[in-house]
Amino acid sequence: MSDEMMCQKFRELIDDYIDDVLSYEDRAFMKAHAEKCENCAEEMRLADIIKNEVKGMDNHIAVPLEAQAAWRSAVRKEIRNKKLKKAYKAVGSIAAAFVVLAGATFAMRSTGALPPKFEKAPENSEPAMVMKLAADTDMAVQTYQTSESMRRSRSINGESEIVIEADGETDDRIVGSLDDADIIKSAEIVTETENIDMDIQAVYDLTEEYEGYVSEEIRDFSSFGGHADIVSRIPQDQIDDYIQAAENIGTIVSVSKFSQNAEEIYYDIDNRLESKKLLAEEINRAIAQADEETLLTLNDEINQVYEEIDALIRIANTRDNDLMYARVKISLIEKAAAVVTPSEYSLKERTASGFMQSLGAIGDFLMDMAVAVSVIAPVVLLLAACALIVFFTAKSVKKKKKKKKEDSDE
Amino acid sequence: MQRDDDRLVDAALGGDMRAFELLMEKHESKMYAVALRMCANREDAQDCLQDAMLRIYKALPSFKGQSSFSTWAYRITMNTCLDELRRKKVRQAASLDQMLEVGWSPVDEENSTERHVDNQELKRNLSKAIQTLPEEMRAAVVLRDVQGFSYDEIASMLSTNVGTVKSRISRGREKLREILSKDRELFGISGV
Repeated sequence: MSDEMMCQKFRELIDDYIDDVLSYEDRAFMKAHAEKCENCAEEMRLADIIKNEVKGMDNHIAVPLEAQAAWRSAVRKEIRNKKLKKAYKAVGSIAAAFVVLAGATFAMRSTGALPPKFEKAPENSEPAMVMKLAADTDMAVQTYQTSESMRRSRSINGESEIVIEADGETDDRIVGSLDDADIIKSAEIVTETENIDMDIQAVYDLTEEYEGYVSEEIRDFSSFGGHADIVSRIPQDQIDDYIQAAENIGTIVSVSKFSQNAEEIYYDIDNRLESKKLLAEEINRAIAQADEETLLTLNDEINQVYEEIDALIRIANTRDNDLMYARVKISLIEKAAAVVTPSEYSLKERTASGFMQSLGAIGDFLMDMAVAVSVIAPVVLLLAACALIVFFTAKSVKKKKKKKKEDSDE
Repeated sequence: MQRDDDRLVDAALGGDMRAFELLMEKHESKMYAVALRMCANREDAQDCLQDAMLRIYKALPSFKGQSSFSTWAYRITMNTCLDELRRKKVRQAASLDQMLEVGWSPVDEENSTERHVDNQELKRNLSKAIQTLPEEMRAAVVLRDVQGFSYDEIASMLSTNVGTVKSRISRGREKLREILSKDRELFGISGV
């Protein structure tokens, strides 16, 4: 080996020399060559400096106190920031979820996708309280209240069903169509009105239209509204039509019809009148033949008989009038025109009311949100399950690919 | 030691600051020494140490134990120092004159626990020579010849392969020998 090659070899071994990993032969070679070559010997000396002096030259170095404090402070700050970030992330996630849920609730509310609050009423159900007014002419049934000896029910459309009882047994005198009997008809109508004056006039007009007359009008006023009773006398054969027409005045509250046997009210008037008249004739004949002593007595008697005759005539006239003209009493009740002065709410009441209203609205919304969660939950669960399946499948595929690659590398 | 490090790592991951401090106390001196060798001045070295510690803490969840904790920590330290040097565009070591002017001394006489009176001058001069090496060579030489890490460890720390590490160390040592040889009187090499 030439000198140049030996120097080349020497230089190649220098690093191993510094690292102290030379083999025995190489060490011997280097030692022997250094004795012969000044340049290489110099290299060896410089290598010794690096080997002996550089190693461990920093073992005595200590970290300055301010540097120790500085990095500790920085790390503590980082820990605090990390915790804050975690908290912000959690709050942010909750807020985001709430916003998404609130949005979904709004959307479901507006599209009616939320289950309703109240159960739907069954079809064809009727209100609990049905006010079947007599104005419903097709359906209402009105009862004629008659005397004890006669009862009759008749629907408004005119069909009549005669059920006649007379003290538990049939009375030939009154059996048959009521049209044959002397029936005195009357009726009472109670009406609610919003304009009592207008409706009073309407009654008058209607009465005139049906060729009747108003026999009585009583009005009174109270703090609850006006009230008027108008008694109209309507031809008997027109009463049903009149009642039907009167139902258009105001808002009907009730209609009651009555019929009475004239004989019960005006019992045997004609016979009694006839007998009184006969009595009067007899007394007059007796007066013509009476002496002074009996004349006074007979005069008193005849006067009394004449009074009784007058009374009977008046009753008969009333009966005849009653038979000709049915009595219809229309009671107009004015709706309480409540002049209520609204009381002013105080600021405290308004703010409390407003606050409670908002709380109520928030409560309703939160309940709707809970319902929305239950509606959305199945969809979310299904999507989550699908996502998990996809995730684990992808992970498994990735793992297999990695293992395959590692195996092929080996 | 590895087991102790693992325990401390687990505790530190749980937010135990004291555990992290204990973990790093074992390595901070060496980390600081490396930073001092890499950076041109004490202030930069302290900044690098702080940055390295922060990076280590932040990266702790990603430590999988594929290498020793110390190797992993020094890698982060070295990367931090190299990043700092690149940021400052310090491609070449600061001139010896500049370092002398600012009173730079890697030996850090104030905190020395040992005094080698005879070769203190030599060591100071060697330090200056190391500072003149390009940063990649300097890193490899410092880790190998000053700190005594193995080639494998250095390769892991510098994120390169053993061959590259050997090459850098070889060239770095050669350069040091050239510097040492160039001016024997300046460096006052004695006892050779």
